[in-house]
Amino acid sequence: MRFLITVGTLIFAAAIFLIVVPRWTHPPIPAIQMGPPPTSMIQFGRGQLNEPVSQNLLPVLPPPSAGGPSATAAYHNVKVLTDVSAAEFMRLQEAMTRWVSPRKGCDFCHAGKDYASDAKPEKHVARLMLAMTRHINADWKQHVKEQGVTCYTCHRGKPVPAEVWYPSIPRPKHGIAAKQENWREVADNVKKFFPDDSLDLYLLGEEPIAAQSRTALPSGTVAEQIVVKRIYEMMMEMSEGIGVNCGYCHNSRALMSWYQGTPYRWDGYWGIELTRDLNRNYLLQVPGILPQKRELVHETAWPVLPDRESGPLAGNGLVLCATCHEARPQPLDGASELGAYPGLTGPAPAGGNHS
Amino acid sequence: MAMMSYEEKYRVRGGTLIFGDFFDFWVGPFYVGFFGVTAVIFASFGTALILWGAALQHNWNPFTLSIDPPPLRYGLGWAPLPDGGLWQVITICALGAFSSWALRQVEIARKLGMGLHVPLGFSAAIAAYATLTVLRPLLMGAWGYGFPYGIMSHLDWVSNVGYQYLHFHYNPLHMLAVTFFFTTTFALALHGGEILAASNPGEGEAIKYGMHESVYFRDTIAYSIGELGIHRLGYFLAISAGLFSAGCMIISGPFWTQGWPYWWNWWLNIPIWGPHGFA
Repeated sequence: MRFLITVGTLIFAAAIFLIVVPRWTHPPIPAIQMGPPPTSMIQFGRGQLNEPVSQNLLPVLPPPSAGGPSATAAYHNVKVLTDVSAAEFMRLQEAMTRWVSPRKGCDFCHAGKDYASDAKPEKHVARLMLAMTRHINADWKQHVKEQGVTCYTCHRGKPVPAEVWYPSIPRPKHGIAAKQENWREVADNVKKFFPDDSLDLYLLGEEPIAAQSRTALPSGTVAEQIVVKRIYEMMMEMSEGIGVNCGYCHNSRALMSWYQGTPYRWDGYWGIELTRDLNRNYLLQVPGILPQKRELVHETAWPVLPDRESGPLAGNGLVLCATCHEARPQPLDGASELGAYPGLTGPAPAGGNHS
Repeated sequence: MAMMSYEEKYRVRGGTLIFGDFFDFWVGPFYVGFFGVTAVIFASFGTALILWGAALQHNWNPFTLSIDPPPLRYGLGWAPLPDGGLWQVITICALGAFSSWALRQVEIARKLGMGLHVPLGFSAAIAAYATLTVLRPLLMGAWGYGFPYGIMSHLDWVSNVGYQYLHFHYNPLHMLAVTFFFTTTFALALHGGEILAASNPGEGEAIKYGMHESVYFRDTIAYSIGELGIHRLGYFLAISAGLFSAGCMIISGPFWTQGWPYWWNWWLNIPIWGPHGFA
């Protein structure tokens, strides 16, 4: 009897613990049906998750007065925003300050009162990022559609976007210290134990994301297990970054089949291509312009550069789905302020870094 | 049909739940009872509706035929028959037929002075079905969350519902349910082996009974659960498999919408580990 009471109490305590501690949700559950009823491709509303960043736009600045001189005529050393008026140029400068460095203000990029000076490397990075934004809005309509992107889409009021990733340290491949992958040993989220090799391969490299065994038994083309695992990790990165489950794009009865999935899979496909383009042609240049020193991490006088500014290879962070999307199918839930800032559209400057 | 010699003594009057003696009769070797009648009506009507669905879809291939639940937009209301209404009526028929069968067994058990173990065990399976087609859709707010009735289509449904939670094997109750299913079949196989071994002794040896089997297990693994106990264990394992699989579906959706792997973050975030999780 005493045994039964003890065991019963323990089970009861465990049950109470498991009801109280995990972050359960509860009905009503908002949902969207992505496919015909029998497939059960259903997306759940994610309103009950933590919001790591604000999902609201900042107020749009009042429009500039029409006319006036062009930016190149009014200011020295204008390299990217060469096609806007001086008034619009200043307005965009102010908006960028609010979007990216509200704490340090203009000094984040500019050296003192000489705004034409190129002394600070941050200014070069800002130019690169402006060119990148214009490139995205002009050349990647397949992915960003009419919503487009502004600095705020990723930065959300921080000099470094909240969600970035770093290329992995090369791992020993031979000898006694050889490792197949860089598994992590510390994490507060199950997924963070997984190595980032998939991001190296799929968001920086050109590795195709494809693996499918087409026969029930290993008699035909067999997908390699390590490849399948990396693709799964990549897909989990997308799922978490966009805030959707697999059924947003795929019918899981045939994950590889385009015609059984949803049209959103094309958006995802172009998103991957876009991310590769940005990482290779823009963000890999940043450490060459702005050295990512480890000492910065402990320099309290420069609070805008958090620990994660510098990766294990002393490089800057690269982008992934979550950088813009922040766990939403459309960044900022589809709200766009691009139309209010024409300087962020327009062609990327000739001789740019993209192909 | 001729009666077996011992059948006479089991054909006893009474024990019915409703309508007294009215349905208390046999057709050939089969007891009818009120719930036998309702079971036949529900089952025939439901099957006829499935055939009607096949006719509406011009699809007589039993593998690809699928009676689909309504789209989510119908919520908890009635849907037009070709657009999920058939599924709704067939679900009622199925639940009616399954419950009738369980209640008919209750009447049989009462006639024979048995316990209610058989209908209770069967009720666990009915509860699992009712959870998928009624309870979970009610909690989620739409009949569209039920599973389609089709040999291939219900497998696709299972697959997609699994991927809705990224990796369903991380569902804690699914873990328990799978464990109970495997343990049930494993225990049944072991028990079957034991019974076959005891009842098929070598040439010239006597058939062995419970006492011998218990002694055998005490000699080999130091413990015998006993003749009654092994059946209680099997009953417990099988019912737990059904109930925990119902439980794993009830928490998937109404009470958890993220990937199941992320449910386990609570383990990594217990304050007794380091500041950055398990280290």
